[in-house]
Amino acid sequence: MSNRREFLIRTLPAAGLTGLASLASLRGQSLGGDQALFRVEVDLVVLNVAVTDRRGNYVRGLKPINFRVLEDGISQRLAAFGEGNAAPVRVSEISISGSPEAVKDELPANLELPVGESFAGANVFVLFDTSNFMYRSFVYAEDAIADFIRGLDEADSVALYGFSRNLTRHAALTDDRLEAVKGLRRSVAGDETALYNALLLTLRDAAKVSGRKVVIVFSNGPDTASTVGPDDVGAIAEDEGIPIYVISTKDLNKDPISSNAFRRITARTGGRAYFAKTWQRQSEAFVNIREELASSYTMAYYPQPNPNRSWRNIEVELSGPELSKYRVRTRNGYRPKI
Amino acid sequence: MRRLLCSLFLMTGVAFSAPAGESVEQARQAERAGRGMEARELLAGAVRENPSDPQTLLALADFLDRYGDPGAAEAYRKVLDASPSPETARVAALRLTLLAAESGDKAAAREGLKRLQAAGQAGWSDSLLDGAASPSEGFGVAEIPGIFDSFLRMSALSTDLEPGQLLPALARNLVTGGYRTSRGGESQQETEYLKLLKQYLTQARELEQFAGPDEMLDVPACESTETAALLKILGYRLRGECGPDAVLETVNPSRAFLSIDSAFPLAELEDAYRRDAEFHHPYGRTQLPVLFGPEYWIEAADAKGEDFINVFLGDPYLARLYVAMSKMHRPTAIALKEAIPAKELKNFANVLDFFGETYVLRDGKAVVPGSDQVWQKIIETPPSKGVEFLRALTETDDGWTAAYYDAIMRTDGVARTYFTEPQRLERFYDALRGKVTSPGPARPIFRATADLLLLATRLPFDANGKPVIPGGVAVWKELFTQHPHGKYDGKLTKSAQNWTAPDDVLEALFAMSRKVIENEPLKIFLAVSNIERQRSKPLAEATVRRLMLSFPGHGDQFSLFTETPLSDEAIVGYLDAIEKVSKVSRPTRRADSIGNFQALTGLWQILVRQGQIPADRIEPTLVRILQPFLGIDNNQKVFEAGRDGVLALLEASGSQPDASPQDRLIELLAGRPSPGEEVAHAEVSKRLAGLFNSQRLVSLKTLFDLADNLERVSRGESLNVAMANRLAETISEVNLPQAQLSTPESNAFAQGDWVTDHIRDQQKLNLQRSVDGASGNPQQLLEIRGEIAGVLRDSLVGLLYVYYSPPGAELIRSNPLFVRSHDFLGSDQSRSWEVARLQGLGWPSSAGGRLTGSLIGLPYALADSEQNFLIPSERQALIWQDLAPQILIGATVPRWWGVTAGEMHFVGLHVRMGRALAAASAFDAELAAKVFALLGDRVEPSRLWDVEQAFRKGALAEGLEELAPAEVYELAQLMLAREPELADRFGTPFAAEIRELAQREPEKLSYERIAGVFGTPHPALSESYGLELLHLPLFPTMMGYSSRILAESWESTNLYWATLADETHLEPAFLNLRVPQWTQQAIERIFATHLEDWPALLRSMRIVADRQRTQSRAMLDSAMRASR
Repeated sequence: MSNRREFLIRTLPAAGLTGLASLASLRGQSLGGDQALFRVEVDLVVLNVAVTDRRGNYVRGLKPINFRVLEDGISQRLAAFGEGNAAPVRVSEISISGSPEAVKDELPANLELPVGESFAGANVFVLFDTSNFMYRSFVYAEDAIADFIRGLDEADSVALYGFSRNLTRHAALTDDRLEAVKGLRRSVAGDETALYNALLLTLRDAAKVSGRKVVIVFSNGPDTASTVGPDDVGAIAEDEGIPIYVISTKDLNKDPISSNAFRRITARTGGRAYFAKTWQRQSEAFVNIREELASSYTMAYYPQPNPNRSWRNIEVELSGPELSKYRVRTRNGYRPKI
Repeated sequence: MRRLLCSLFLMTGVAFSAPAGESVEQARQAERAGRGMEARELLAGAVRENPSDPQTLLALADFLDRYGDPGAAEAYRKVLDASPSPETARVAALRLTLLAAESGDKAAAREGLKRLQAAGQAGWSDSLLDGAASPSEGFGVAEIPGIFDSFLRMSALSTDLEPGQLLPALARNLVTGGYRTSRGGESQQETEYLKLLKQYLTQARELEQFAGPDEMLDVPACESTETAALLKILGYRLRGECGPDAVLETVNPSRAFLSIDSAFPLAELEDAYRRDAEFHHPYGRTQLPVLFGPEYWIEAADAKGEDFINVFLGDPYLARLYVAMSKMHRPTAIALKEAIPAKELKNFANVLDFFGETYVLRDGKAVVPGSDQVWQKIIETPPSKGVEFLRALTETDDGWTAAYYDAIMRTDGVARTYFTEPQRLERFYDALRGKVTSPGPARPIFRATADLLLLATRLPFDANGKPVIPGGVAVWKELFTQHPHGKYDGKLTKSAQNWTAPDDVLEALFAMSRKVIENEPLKIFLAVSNIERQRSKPLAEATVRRLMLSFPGHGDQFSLFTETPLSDEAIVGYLDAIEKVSKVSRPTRRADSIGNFQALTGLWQILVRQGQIPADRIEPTLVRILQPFLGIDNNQKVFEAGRDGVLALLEASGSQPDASPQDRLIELLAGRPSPGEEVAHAEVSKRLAGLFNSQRLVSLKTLFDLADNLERVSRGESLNVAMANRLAETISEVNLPQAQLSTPESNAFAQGDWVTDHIRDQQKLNLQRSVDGASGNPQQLLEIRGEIAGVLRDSLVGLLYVYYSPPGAELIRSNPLFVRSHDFLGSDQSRSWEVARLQGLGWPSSAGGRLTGSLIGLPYALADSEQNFLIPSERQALIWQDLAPQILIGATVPRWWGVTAGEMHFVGLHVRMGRALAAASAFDAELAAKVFALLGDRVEPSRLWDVEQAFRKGALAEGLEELAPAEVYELAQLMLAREPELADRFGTPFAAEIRELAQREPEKLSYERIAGVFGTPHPALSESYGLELLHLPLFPTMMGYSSRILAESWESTNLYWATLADETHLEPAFLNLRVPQWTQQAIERIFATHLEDWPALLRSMRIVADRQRTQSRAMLDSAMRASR
């Protein structure tokens, strides 16, 4: 690599808190006149991290210094950090004693980071199963989702999608709650269930949005029409850094195939699966997700040099013995874009 | 586009100062060179310099008109204002009139007519434009409770429908999905769909009562008695206090469901409560036009009642009669209604539904194909008796006479002449009818088979009008007498012994067409005929015999011969190779051999289609590809056969010997660009390479280099570890999902054993270990190359997958095992040569998406797999499951390299001329007679009658909407050929331009060539992915696989896009990028009510086109401003 480095912002949209945004390309340029260029991708990796105690209560108030991020065992330097729906900030600007090693020397000043007020809050994509399997619980589900939408933090935006055999965008991403509820109330019952197809398309939409985002699936489970499987969809969510939450309207043991698939895709992306047959349980699940959005941490870093071009394992640890009792949940890793 | 704009910038400033005539000539030159935008600006500049010169003004107006520019009408107006010569004035006024009438601008049309009359055109009256567009005669009105849109939603109908279209569409839904037969088959039970619709009507009546006579739902305040009453009807209650905490909560789920499903504005109501504001919502009854008036149907119903909608929903036979009557030629339907009681007609509603569409009464006489006497003999009633004839036609032989009449009515030209020869007409009917007429052909809800229609419309004829029997009569006689695949029909076996003439064979095929079961002889006949159709030299009898024998197992492969005519030897050689490779004993090796074989022949087919293999090397290259597959007995040979095939393709396509096989094949597949098309070509190449990489497939270069290295290892060199590691690294990312699955998922996961073995074999691949294990034995070291045969198969198959990938390509992008999971054997090892199919739907039975079968039919299978990833822009608008893949392959199979602007313009001129002629026919009786006679060969009588009626009412725009682009394209073509004087008189300025273009570039601008560029593939109708325009009438809905035929009879999509591209001056090479996008967008915007709802597709295409026009005009305007 050349001794001269220059960071270029590749795309403005990617300059947001994209999960695995190819935010900048590191372009080396030879000093000679042959204009030989070589390119190394510098991926901004963004993590949503939930920390809970043994009872499942969210632990708040942690600082960058309390976290240690490892990628394939290599310690990473955080570039940006945020808690809950507050705007993330540059770690170098966080003024606390014993802060981690300054990153400003490592990252050029003109490198855009997903920090500032415009990145406050989450972009929440709600994916609602309107297939005939949901026929009986359709109306109650809508009530629960409407409550959830109204209760979201002011900083959050929400999109409302529905699916049966195809996906329908009932309400595009908006901070207008009434618009989102109108979209919800306009949904109609469909036929076959292509859950994983629809989830994939929702992730594609979410990936285009700057900032922190999550997808919440509300479904009763059996998939009768998808041509893509849950694990492939989960891998895409993982790569894009988008946690998936699933609220299944079936009991855990009623449909073991769907239950297992839900658990896998939520766990690997740092989300959670809820099995809530009753309307009350569904409402509780939504409350829980809302709380998690408000309590989880956002961290971003540029990976340290790593020859591994395939799957990279991510581990987030809490520093200090007094924090070891807590549990940390985030995505398992990602594949760098080649 | 960019190139055009650059040249535009360079020339501006020079041309504008030139004399008008010179600028017009320069513009002509620019246009001829394909620089339409430059020509447009030159003409605009000339007009700016000479604003009152009629000829300059006319040159600009003509230009704009020829390209469908919306500024054409205004330009003609300026011509007329500039005191032109009488002839120029006539032309300008004619075009002004027709353009205005086509766009529905009656005031401008009147102005044009006045000017036309002033220019000396006699006989054209503007009284035509005074007609009222609606309501139509023969309709009454019924009322239904509630809002129109809500009723549409609950009826599962497109909200784009006009009120007059609702009842036919609802009736169709009631017939196909309103009832199901009870277990004993004795009665019909309502489906959930119908139950919900009825429940909705009850709720709507309650809301209507609540709304009262002023038809308004009024809630003065949250805290009011109206709140409780309204919410009770809606199935909700208020949770929380009135004000910001107020929330609607379900209390009666059934009612709440209806409220949501019918789109009651719940969110707005809730919002009013939260703001403690008033709520007002209009809610009244909806008036619906009813064919023949509601009383007719109420009287004909089984159950008595006074409310039309209740009666209508309660009688499925009545609904079917409504479907039949509403799609019948209207005067004919009215005559039937007046002569035959509805209760009697209802008994034959199924026959009328299927075949009544072609019934026509004219001057009290039934129109019949062929001789009146024969029809009188068949049904014992003369056609002159009009309604009585149609009644007999419908009732005779359980509907077989009607089916026969319908099939023959759909033929034209040589076929019509042949089939309607009196003796033959009767003979073939007798064969079709047989001795026992039950069951009739109209028993099911959809037509069971397309055999009869296909036989009538796809039979090939020679230049003398005689039917072509491939291989001669004797070989077909053998098929029926020796029946190598099992006996077809005892009677035919016997009669076949005496066959001597083509009619004997066809008589048998008519007899077979009544069978509901597999009609193998007809399928063989059509398949072999399709091969024969493309050849200059007929197939030899022995070859036909071989094809017949091969058909049951390998018939799907025949499409290879249909698209590319081959010698008899090559055909037989291909079939031999299939048989050889099918005999490879070990299943995984066989799968790899078949995969390599099919991928290579698939690549060969693409390169031939794209003109990248010279004509004299087409067949030798195929023979060279096949040769190594004749002796496969180990994996090393599988690999070598694959590699040799790639080298054969590279050599035949003129590749440099040192070219990277991977890069070169991608470059070849991306197409053969002409100079100036490099930018678009690079985009296409990039897409292909990106999709290939997303499947984590190994580059051919890596594989071949590795194989070379292994060969050197056998001579004592050491293994190139870096290269082996690169291969291992790529494969290591491919993981079978089973490891992650729970036991129940694993049990239901249906990837197929052979696929699992194929992927596992690759995961186990360790070349270093194999080299070590060979202990220096040269032969063993050489054989190690066989270990990468499966990897090579995936790479070759992957190239085909990415080439045919539909826009979006979600499965290829998201499922890294998609290509590797292609199952070439099938669970019972019998699917290797059948068309590719999507295997399994839903998790886990889909195994994450995979195809089974051969690579024949891959474009359709990929489009089928991808269609559920399309996102409808309308709620409730389900993608057309059977039709979307066919429309998609119209965009994924063709490539447009080396296409000229002249070719696009040729299409655009025809489409515009066809519309102009149709529009002019509204004013001119002589022209109308010719136009409607020609359209009558393609457009079904009921639709043609609708067009005529719309024209008579002066609603020209409405009438033209009924005609598909392919129909107006063909109309222009036929008028130019058959009525040149009328074409010139009314088809100006298009006719002269078409002639000039055709004269200037006779090879490029022949109808055959245009069909090969802007036609569509017909894999079901022609068994070929080659592009054609068959100009068949639009087929009716049929069951199962046959519905693909319906989709293939729609040939308008690419003609429409070519016209759009011509209008917007798109560089032809960019069609390769835009057409897939436009097609995807059009499908996503379709809000169709039923399978034959072609107007919905046209509406959707127009929306996409309008957006494109807006974008390109904005871009061009800005470029123009910058250039001045």
